[in-house]
Formats: sequence, structure tokens, C-alpha cells
Amino acid sequence: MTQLFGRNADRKLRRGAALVVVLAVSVLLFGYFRVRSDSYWHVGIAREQPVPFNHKLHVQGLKMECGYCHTGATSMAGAGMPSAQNCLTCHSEIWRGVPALEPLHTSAELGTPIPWNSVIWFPDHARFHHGSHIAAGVACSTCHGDVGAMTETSAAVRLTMDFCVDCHEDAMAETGARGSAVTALPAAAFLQRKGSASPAAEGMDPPASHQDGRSLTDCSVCHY
Amino acid sequence: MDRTDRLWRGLSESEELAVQREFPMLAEAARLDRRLAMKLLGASAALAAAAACERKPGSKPSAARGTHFGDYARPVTYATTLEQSGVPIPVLVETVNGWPIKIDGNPAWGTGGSSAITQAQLLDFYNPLRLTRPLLRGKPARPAAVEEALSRLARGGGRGVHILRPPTSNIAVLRAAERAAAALPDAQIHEWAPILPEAPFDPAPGSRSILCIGADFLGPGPHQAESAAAWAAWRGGSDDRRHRQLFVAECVPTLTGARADRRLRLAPRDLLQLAHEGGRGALARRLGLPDVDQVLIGRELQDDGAGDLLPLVAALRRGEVETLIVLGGNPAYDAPADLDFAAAMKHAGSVIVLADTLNETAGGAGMLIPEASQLERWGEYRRGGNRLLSQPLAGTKVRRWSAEEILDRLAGTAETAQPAWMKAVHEQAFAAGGESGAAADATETGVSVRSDDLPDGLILVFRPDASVWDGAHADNPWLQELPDPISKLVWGNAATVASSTAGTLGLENGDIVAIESAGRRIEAPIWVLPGQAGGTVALPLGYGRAVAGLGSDIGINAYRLRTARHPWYAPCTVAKTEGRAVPISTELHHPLAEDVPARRMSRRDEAEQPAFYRQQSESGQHQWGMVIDLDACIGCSACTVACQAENNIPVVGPEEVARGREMHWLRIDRYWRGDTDDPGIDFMPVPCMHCETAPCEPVCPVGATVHSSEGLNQMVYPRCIGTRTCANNCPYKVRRFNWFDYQEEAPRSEQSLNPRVSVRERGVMEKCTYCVQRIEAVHAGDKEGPVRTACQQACPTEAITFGDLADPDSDVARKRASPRNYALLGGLNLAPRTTYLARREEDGDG
Repeated sequence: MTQLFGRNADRKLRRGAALVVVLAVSVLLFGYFRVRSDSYWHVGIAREQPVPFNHKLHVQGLKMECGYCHTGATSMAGAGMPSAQNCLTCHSEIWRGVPALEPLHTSAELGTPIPWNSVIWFPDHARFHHGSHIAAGVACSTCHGDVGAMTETSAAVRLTMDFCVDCHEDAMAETGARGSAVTALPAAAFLQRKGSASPAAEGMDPPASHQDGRSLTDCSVCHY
Repeated sequence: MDRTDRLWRGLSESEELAVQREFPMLAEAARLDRRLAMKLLGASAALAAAAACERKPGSKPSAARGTHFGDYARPVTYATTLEQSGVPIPVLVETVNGWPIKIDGNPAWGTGGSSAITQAQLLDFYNPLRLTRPLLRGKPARPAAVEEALSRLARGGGRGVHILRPPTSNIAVLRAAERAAAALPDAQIHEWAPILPEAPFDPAPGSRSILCIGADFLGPGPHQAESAAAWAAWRGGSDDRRHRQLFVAECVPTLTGARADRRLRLAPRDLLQLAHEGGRGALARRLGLPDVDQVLIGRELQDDGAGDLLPLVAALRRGEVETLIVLGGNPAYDAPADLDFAAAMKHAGSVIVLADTLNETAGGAGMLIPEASQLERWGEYRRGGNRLLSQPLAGTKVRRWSAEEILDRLAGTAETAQPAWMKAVHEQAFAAGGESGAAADATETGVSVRSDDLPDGLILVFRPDASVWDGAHADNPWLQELPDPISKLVWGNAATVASSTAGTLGLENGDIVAIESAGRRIEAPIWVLPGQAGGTVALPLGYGRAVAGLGSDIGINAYRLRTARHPWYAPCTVAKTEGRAVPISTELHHPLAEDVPARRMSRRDEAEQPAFYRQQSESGQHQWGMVIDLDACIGCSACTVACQAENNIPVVGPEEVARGREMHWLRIDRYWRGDTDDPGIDFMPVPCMHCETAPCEPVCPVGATVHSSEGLNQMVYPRCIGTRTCANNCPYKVRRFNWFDYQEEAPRSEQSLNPRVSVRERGVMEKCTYCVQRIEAVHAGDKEGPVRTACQQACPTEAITFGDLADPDSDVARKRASPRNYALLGGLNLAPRTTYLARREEDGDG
């Protein structure tokens, strides 16, 4: 009767098992680092836009404030995208007839939207309210980076849950123990020590905060 | 009534095994063999691995004008008016990006409560089967074809033209009808509705005791919210200790009967006699009724006349009708069976039907005109001495017509008169003053009682349905899946009988019987209903529609037995057949391990009972809590549908409901109290209790349900892996599991979803969140406080109070200090944030 397993069977099994373990670990490691990588969050990756808008020119050059175009930033959940009409306030006179600005005129004439491509990926299952962050003293650049210095706009920060929660925890630590009143501008001092700008410095007018002393790490602050 | 009465949920309650009762799925799972279990295990692991996918940033369009916010746009609320069965209902409609997402009562008019049907009318607007083009002999036609046909009729002088329209209080329609009648002197206008609404509850000043004879003013109907608010006000607020007594005589248990201080179960003949005697004669004395201050007589006992349909059908049969124009309604389905309207309609030369979706009447139409939704048109309604206005709040690219437009075309007017009330519309939906409401709500003075000659033997009782009303809402999935408040039947109807009648006839739940009345015969399943009078068979109207989208062929069409002579009570015979089909009822779902979940308390005890009030230990400045006053709850289910609309709760369909998988976050438990033949009825809305020591939290392996600093029991959907352990550990049975990707598989128009609430995926647990999106909107500064939950907002009797327990001056804290306050399953020491106020009952001494 022949042997059911050859002489090398044991070694093969061990190698196979080791391979499976190595593979499994590398898949997990790959996943771990992948979801933390810049490319996953599209950091620094500009996308082609219908109009080659230059933030640097408008912000640093012309000293325009964020809220001039993104009118919802101080008070609403979405900061909002400016309309063609908004752009044409100036561009009906300046750079008239430049082909790159053609989509603005088309949009204004036909009433069709301009399909800007989002450069920031924010997961569906989390909610973000621009207004309440400005109210808490968080500057635009804290999450968006120095957009005013970008010629091509791209994401500057990996918007992982860690990134959000770190700040929420620090904001609570700044005002004392968990549960003490988180009132107006709780995060401002903390953020400014870390070198961030303040909303006021970016031309924002922060409204009152209504967090009313709740813990900022409650799940339902962002997930509902 | 004795407070030690046993509470029970259904007649077959004791037959179930404990495991079937609490874990119906587990009882079924025991039937899985090992091989299938392994297959399922492997498949679910593979599917779970495939579920992780990366998403790219999308596009962010900007508008041509104004700033574009996409999904983040602020909601805009419009005040307008909806008309149900000719009754105008003032509402507020919340829209996002021009799409309506929620309908609520207008608080400027009454309490701001609404009814389940009003809430659910949102879905009608998004019905994918709404007609988008006129149909000429079944073929799509140009809008101009409609205009041509109407102007041709307008030139004809109206000979042989008959117009049939439902009753309305829309002044625009009434005026257009007058103009049309003047322009076409030979045309005739008829009115038809199968069910006239019950008169609104309007207690005479100073009346302290009221006897309702068959008057179900708290029941379904256009006046429900208004009547419920008036009833709650009459009964007195939460701290009011005045005695108000409501006596209700009825043959089938209704919502009004459930809230009666004394409910009398009477056969139809006795009801009629009591009505004839005005509640003060020999029968009243025999029943031991005291002298009451006011008597209300139900619509079913009043002599409502035969209606306008008789002359129309006669004219049709004589061949005198050249053109029949049906401006809404569905007479081919709901006209009295003896008139056989559908057959008579074939005698008309041509039929023009105005309808929003294809229905039975539209099937016989030569020309079918799509009807504009009530959210798409102007209107001016008369209500009492006031005017209510409606405005279009949703734009449409589809050409649809309204009844007044068609009447105006017939009158030869080129355009509908421009509304001259723009300013009033903008400022408020209604304007007081003007002419007195002559054609408005009928009062109960001068009521003449029907003189039905009812023989001995079984009597068939027709009832409007709490969900589909007269059948008009059969295509509304929210209403189909809403359990009937009394029988808890969903997705269909059944012939209900008292257990004594069932015993005599040898019937049990699910037996199919043949019901014969006036030579017509239908087959219907039986449902034994406690509290019904013996010798009666009750059939809810509005089911068994042949052409009603997803409502087609659901339930039994009771109109096939309903005649012009006997619209509400008819003699009948019942014979058992071989068949069986058990109707789906949710009455035994979600059992609670407590003997008396819905408590009652006598006023004497109320004065003696010490109050318990637990101080919460969380850190937030606000501590949310809810108090549900069982003394005010009428079981109308408006809260259930409001919650469904606000929180994007899916509809699961009859098969899934039968498995106990309905998704309603807020259910209304109905308990029978005491005697099986003539029990008391208690309602108990049960949302998540947000227990301070929640048993669901420690058992979650991934921490997907945790507590917030403001005392919310949070449900974190992205973390949930669907073990369902939390639901099994929840003693209140309020957690709901997404067995399927409901939004994916049975999609609901995306625009109709509330963008502030996540749509849950398959495999995720969900439950009441205390409307956390509304709490967050206040935290974010989008809305001003105080926070009101959707159920609280919808409740017409203000039975639900939500608020901040940490604020001793808040309504919710004040109510919690009431001696009537108790926690459901209080013995478990879970410190639920939702508590109940026991229903009051009289001491018996008056």
C-alpha cells in the first residue's frame, strides 16, 4: 500500500499555511495603510475643472474672502458653490471673451449649472456642518489647508475620523473636563496655538455656538 | 372598570409558544438543516468581503443664479391646504430644493397636529404611476388634444353633457362650475362621494356629558385631527380634574369607542332606535344611560339621501348622455353595486376622466386627463367663516389639469382667473372673514335618522377604513402598511365578527366565508374582533381595488355588496367555505414582559400616588426625555406615519410584516382590557425608551449603540455589523433590523427622502433616535429651539411631549412629576427616558 501523503506533504502544508498567514497579514496591513494614505483621501490631487479657477490669484492677489463665494460657510451645513452670476459680477467686464471663461457665460445664458468636480472626499455616513465649525472658532484652513496659496485646488488634509475626533477631544480638553460648558469659540485658542488662523482672520464673522455643553465626541454629533 | 383587569393583545395570544412570540425567526430557523446553514454562512462571509468599496468624490454643480447647496440646502416650508373628501385641511409642507419632503398640520390653525392620511399624502405626490400625458383611447396624446376636445364641448351648448365631480369646498372649482353651468345651460352637474365625512367634534358650550350614537369623530376621516384636538380640549388638559363624560354606543369598536368613559355594544337596530329616540327614550333608560347634555348622531345613522348618482345612471341607461365628464373620484369602483355604474358608463357617447393615476373609472374613458396634484395648484377653500388658500409649491414640467381648469375651458374662459390673494398666501395660508360658510360643514342640528328596516339575522356593517379611507389611498404603501388602530390588520381587510357570532357560525380567524346580501355574493376572510356587537359582520371599504398600482387586488372589495338603499347596514347571510387565508395582523408582534403595560389610574388614586422622579447623571446641559400621555392618546397612528416620513423608514410589504419585520420605529400597541366579548381598549405608542441603563448597549460587540452626553441611546449605522443581539436584548422590542436593502430593492423617489436622515443599508439595526437630526439642527444653529420630534408635531391631541428633563420648567419635566407618570417595565430598573402618564378613569361615582 502506498503512502497517502508524500515525504514533502508536511513541509508543503507548513509553507502553505505560512503563505496564507503572510497574505492575510499583508492584506490587512495594505488596507490599514491604504485608508490612511494621501491618495485614498485625494490629498494633493487636483482634478480637471470646467473653468481653471485659481484660488491663489483671487485670495492672495485680490484679497477676496472665502465667504464672498462660499456664502453658506458661516451659517449653513454646506459652504455652497458660487453661481455663474456671482463670477460674472467681475468677469462680465474683466477677461471678457477669454475662452476659458466660456462655461460661465453658457451657464448664465442657459440657466444650466457648472459641473465643478469635488476635490474633497467626505464619507457619506458622516455629517459636517460648516456653520457650527466657524461658530466654534475653526478656521477654513484647518481642514482645507491653505487654499489661498493653491493655483490648482486640491484637498490638503486626510479627513479621517481620527482627524475629526482629535480636534473634538482637544476642544473639550481646552474648556476643562468633559461636560463643562463648551461655549463660544472653544477650539479657537487650542487651534491658534497650533498655528492655525482664526475665522476672523479669514474674513469670517463667527455666529454664536449652540453646543450647550454636550460632549463633542458623542456619535450623534456627526452620525445620524 | 376594575384596574386589575387583565390586559391581552389578541384572542390567539395564549396559543403561541414563547419562542414564537419573542423570536419568530428563531422558531423558523430551527427548520434549517446543517448543509443550508453552512451554505448561508459561506455566502454571507463572501458578501461581507465584497461590500467594502472605495468611493470617489462626486461632482459639485453650481447654479446659474444664487449659491448652490445641493443636498445641504435649507428646507423651505410653505403654508397651503390639502382637500380630503371635500374638507380643506390647512398644512405646512417642508420642501428641500423645491421637493416636498414632509407634510404637517398648520399650527396657526389648531394644535398643528395631523392625521396619518394627511402625513402619507406626501407619497401620493411621488407615485411613479401618476399620469404624465393625456391618453386618447389608451394612446398617449398631445396636451393640445385635451384643449381641442374641451373647446369643442364649450361651443356645443352642453346638450347631453353630464359632469360628475366629488364634493368640494374649493371656491375656485365651485365658481368655475357656476360659469360652466351658465355657459352650457343644458349640461348637468352631479356630485358623488362614497363616504361623507363625519361631522367635526364641536361640543356645545358647557356640555359636560356627551352621548355618541355611532358617531366616530375620533376615527379616520378628514376631520380627525381637528376633532381630536377639540375632544382633547373638551376633556381638559393634563392637570385638569374636571369630570367630562363620553358615552359611546356603537356596534363595531372604533377609536371614539376606545376613548369612551362608557362604551355600549349595540346591534344596528338598537343603534337606530337609540338615535330615533334621541338618546333619551326607553332604550336609553334600559341601558342605564344618564341624561346627557349633548347627543351626537353618526353619519351612518343619518338620512343622507340617495345622492346625485341615481339621475345620472338613469340618464346613462336611457342613452341621453353624449359626453360624461368625471372630474376626480372613482365611481366605477365605489358607486352602489345596484347601480352598476361601470356598465352604465358604457352607454355614454364619450367619457372624459380626470384622474391622477389609472383607476377603475379611467379604464372606461375615451379621454384620460392627468390631474394636477394638490401640491401643484392654486386653490381657495371655504371653512366655516374663513378662507383657506393653497399654493403650488412644487414645480412640474408635465402638463396636468385641475378640475377648475377643465370647468373653465367648458365655460369658454381662456385662462383660469389669476389668484388675487398672492399677498395673503405669502403671509399666511388663510384669511379670516368673508362670507359665512353656508355650504361648509354640516352641523348636527336637524339631523334626520335613517329608517332602515333591518330584519332579524346577520347584519352587514360597512366601515370606512383607517388606512385607505374610501379606497382613494389604496396605492399608498405607508397607509397599506399602517396597522389598523383596532384590529391591527395590515395590507388588506377582513370581515370582522364578534366571538359569539363566530362561535355560532363555527368560524375562526382566517376562515373564508361567502357573504351574500341582496343577491350579491363575495368571499372574505374572517377576523374575530373583540368588542363587536353580536349578529354583525363588519367589512371595511376601500380594498379589493382592481386598478390601483401596488394597491391592486389587496383585500376584499366591500362595495360589491353596498347598495344605494343600504349604504351602511344591510341584511346578509354568511356561509363558511373550504378556503382559508389568515389576514396579516401585527397585534401579537413585539410582546412585552409586563402584565399591565398600559395603565389606568382613577382620579382618587391620582391624588394619593407619590411621584417618582429620577435624577439623571449625564453631563450635557440638555437631557432629552419624552412623556406620552395615555389619557390623551386616541390611537390614530398619525405619529407612526409622521415618524416614517421624517426618518426615511422603509415599507417592507405584507410577506415581511407577516414575519414580524415591520420597520415602524414608533408602533402603537393596542391592548384589550378584561372581558373577551366586551373589552376595554387601551392604546400605547411605543418608541425607543432611550434607557439610561440601556440593555442593548453592553451586548453590542462593536459598540454601534452607545449613550450620548445628552442621554440619547445613539445608533451608529456605519459601525453596525448586524448581529441583532441588541434587538434580542431590548425588553421593549423597539429595534428594527434591515433584512434587505429596502431603498435599493423597492426604491422610493430620492427627492422624497429627508436628506437629514441616513438611508440605512441591509444588515443594519435601526430604531427611534428622538429625531436626533432635529436636535442637531438646533445645535448647529440651523433651527431655533425648542426641539420637537416628528411624532410630537403630528399628534393632534398633544399626547407626546418631548424636551429637556434637566430644565425643571420644561413641559416634559413638569409632566414627569405628575402622579400618573410611570415607566413601562419599570421593574427592570432601566431608567427609560420615555415615560407614560396613566390613562385616567372615573371613580364610578361620577
